[in-house]
Amino acid sequence: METLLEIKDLKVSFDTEEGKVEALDGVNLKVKEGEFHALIGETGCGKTVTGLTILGLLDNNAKIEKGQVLYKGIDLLKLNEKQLQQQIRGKEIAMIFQDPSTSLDPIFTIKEQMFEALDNNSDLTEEKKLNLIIEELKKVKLPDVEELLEKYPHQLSGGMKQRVMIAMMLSCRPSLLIADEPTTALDVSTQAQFLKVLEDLRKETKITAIYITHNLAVVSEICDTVSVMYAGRIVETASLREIFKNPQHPYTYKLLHSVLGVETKIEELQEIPGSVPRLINPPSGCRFHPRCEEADEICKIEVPRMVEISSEHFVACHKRVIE
Amino acid sequence: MISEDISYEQLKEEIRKLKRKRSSQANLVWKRFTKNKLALIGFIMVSIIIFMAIFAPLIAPYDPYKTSPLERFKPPSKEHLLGTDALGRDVFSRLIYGSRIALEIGILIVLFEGIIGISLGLVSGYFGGIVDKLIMWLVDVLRSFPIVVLALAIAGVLGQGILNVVIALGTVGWTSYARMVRSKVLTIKELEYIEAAKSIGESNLAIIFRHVLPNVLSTAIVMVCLMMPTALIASATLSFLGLGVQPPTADWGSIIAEGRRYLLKAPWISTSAGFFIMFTVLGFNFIGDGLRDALDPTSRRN
Amino acid sequence: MNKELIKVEMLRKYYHSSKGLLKAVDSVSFKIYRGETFGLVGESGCGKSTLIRTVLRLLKPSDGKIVFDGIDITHLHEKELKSFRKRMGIVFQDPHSSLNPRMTVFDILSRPLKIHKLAKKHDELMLKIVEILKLMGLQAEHMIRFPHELSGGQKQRVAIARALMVEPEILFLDEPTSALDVSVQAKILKLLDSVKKQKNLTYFYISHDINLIRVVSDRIAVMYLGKIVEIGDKETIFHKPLHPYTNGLFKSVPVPDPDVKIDKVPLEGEVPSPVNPPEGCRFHPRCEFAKDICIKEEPVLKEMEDGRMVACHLYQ
Repeated sequence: METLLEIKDLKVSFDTEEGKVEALDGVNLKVKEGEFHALIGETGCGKTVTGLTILGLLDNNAKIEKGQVLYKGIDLLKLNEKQLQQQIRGKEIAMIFQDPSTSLDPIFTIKEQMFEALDNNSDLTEEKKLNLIIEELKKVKLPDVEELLEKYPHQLSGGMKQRVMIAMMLSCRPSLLIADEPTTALDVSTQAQFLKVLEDLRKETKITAIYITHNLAVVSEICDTVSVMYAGRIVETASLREIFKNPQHPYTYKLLHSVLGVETKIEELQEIPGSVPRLINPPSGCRFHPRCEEADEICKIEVPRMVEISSEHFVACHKRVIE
Repeated sequence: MISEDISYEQLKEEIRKLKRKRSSQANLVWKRFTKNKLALIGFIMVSIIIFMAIFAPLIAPYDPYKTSPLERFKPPSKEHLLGTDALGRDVFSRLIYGSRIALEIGILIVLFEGIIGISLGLVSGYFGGIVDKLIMWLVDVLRSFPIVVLALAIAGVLGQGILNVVIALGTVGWTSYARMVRSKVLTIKELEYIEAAKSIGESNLAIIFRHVLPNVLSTAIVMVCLMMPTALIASATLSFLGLGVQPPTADWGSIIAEGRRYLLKAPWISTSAGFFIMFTVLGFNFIGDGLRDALDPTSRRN
Repeated sequence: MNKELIKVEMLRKYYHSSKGLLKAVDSVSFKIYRGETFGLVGESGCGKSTLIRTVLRLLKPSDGKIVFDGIDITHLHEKELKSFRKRMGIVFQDPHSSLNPRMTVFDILSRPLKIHKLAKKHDELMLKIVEILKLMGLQAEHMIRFPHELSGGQKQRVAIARALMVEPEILFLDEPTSALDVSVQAKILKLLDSVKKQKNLTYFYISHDINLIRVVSDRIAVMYLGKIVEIGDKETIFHKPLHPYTNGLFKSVPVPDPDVKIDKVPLEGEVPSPVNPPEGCRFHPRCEFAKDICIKEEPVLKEMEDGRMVACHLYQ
């Protein structure tokens, strides 16, 4: 499979009142065409920042220190706002967010908003547009589409809004979808429906996705490849099965064992000592070392590099590299 | 004995040390406030006025009430920085003394309307129901009159004098506080720490004073700074219309009114009084805006 | 062990809304036994938060009965309730909003002691607070901190400490970990578990997270649209859910294992509005087994052979 998006050595920092926050520190990521690539990690690990950087949606106080975001060979970081807006956002790369109610405008009907999304991105006739919209809404399994078109966002439930967002994105036929915690605000039953919609879409459209979440169970439902982030760096990348069955980085291992499964007993839950470091003045060397049971001198000094320890399984840990 | 390794006295000492070291929230607010240039300028402007008011007798070159028929309508000069008025009084001295009256009235009005407005807003927002409806009805009724007209009517009934100006303006002014505090209380009331307080058996009164009021206070302080200019202008307006502070008292509003008759002949009288009012009003507005941003950093973005 | 601590009978909490009567909690009955962990699971809007607050008498019940340790507390006045407030504690979902931002940890934790006159002098207060902070895995110096100076997990520990301050008999836990990261969640769950054993507490957990309820509870109730549809022991209810909603709900949960996938959408459609809910069984529009009777008649909770209770016409 070809690489659709490649992030190379990306460094992003934020200026805040308390000092400079090193939100991303040398992130490397390869997303192949057609795959669902999960970006997992806890609050503040930089997974959302990564998504926003790709689309140039960072706040004003953010600074991209170095790195490249290559999409189909073009460095997105070199494009200006106008180019991004006209050529990339929506058309090539679309993003959906955690809270669908803030992504939809409350004073317009679904139809108006779907038309607007299309206006920015295509030049079809009105009739063809309407047909396309109806088709997309049906694709995401929304019932009574004709009625739905005349409704306002507040008349829809969270799950329906999130599906409208997906339909809106898809109507512009992007190649890459960035989904930032799309089901976190949803209930399990609606989440199951949403995941089913995504899975079916995938079969039909061969869309590529970066799926940002903290929920490992959801990841195991629909993703192929998983990258684990910790404190602004990617610590491990591997196929879904490898991550779950053969986690190598100590953080990945602990994270997997703090997730509540079906047969989990409280006594068996793993604890990670300490707490996530603040990224103003992050720990030296491997950022996980203060919380790692295996850490020794080298972990405190040297930043571990991503190394391929078996086919397509990359890990950044001094203790997993055989000299 | 608290634990094996540390005694109670040691612990107390440790905690005292930590408390000293910690930069308090007030420090942080002050730091943000001073970073904001306009706020700092406002702070300096208001400080100048306060300084003038306190040390008026030392700063003022002349007695503000001493008339000298030979010195009438002298334009600004070295002897009289801002000239003299129709009775030969030094305008600059009168304006300096006027800052005393202005601040006095301003503070009294803000205190008067602030106390009434904040308490009624708290009660209205916290208890809701019929009490809320009554208070808000009163607010709506009072606000449906033009402020100055209503204050004029009240001042007309009560008669002249500083205290009556305060009552007249405060009667209307508290409605702004009540509305603001009420809406803030409505959001706070929904927060879980209020429920948590109830769940441990805290009484309504304690909830209002311990949990609601402290969280409303920062907004109220901002409100005070932003309402001060309104109070100043309104009291100057009343004086100008002859219903406020009475001549010969050195009051900015009355000085404008007196100077109005000679606007062409001696324009410096009214204009310099107008400038003093504008200066003070701007100063308070800058402080208010600065404080609002410093207390609530989220509102500052964009 | 098998002594009832809380008995709720036909409890109702209705609200008047512009669209009509909103039946947030409708004729709910259950019991909580001393020493157990009772879990209530349901999706957002099912009324579980309203239920827990009504049982705690933070909200006024519209109808029904709440009995705490043999005493009817349904209609007690706030003053009479005070002694019961000491016996029941609650920990809320979001520690960011459940701690007053203008109070230090010391102030927050000393309030319950002062209200119930358990300690007056500064020394006594300090001693008790240091003790509870240690129990919560925090340090003595945390007492001078303000909430914004603590991490999410630390805040939740303070919130738990506040509830435990007066030595309650039962702790109501309203989604205590859903605002926290997974690794922090694991720590808080372990902490709650050890405190329970140490102090012989009874827990009443509510959550939308089915795996969480499954891990912590002894007995479980499932709530749908203001009603409890099934109650039973954890094992029986998870291995053989009877109510079609319970079954669908459990099957909707993704399993953190790449070999186990949700095969087809277990629950179609959306939860209807609690204003004018469906006639008969409230679940019937989404139920694949719905019969004529389900549309007409509302099923009641009925005890089955294995001791569990189900409200479904399939089993009556």
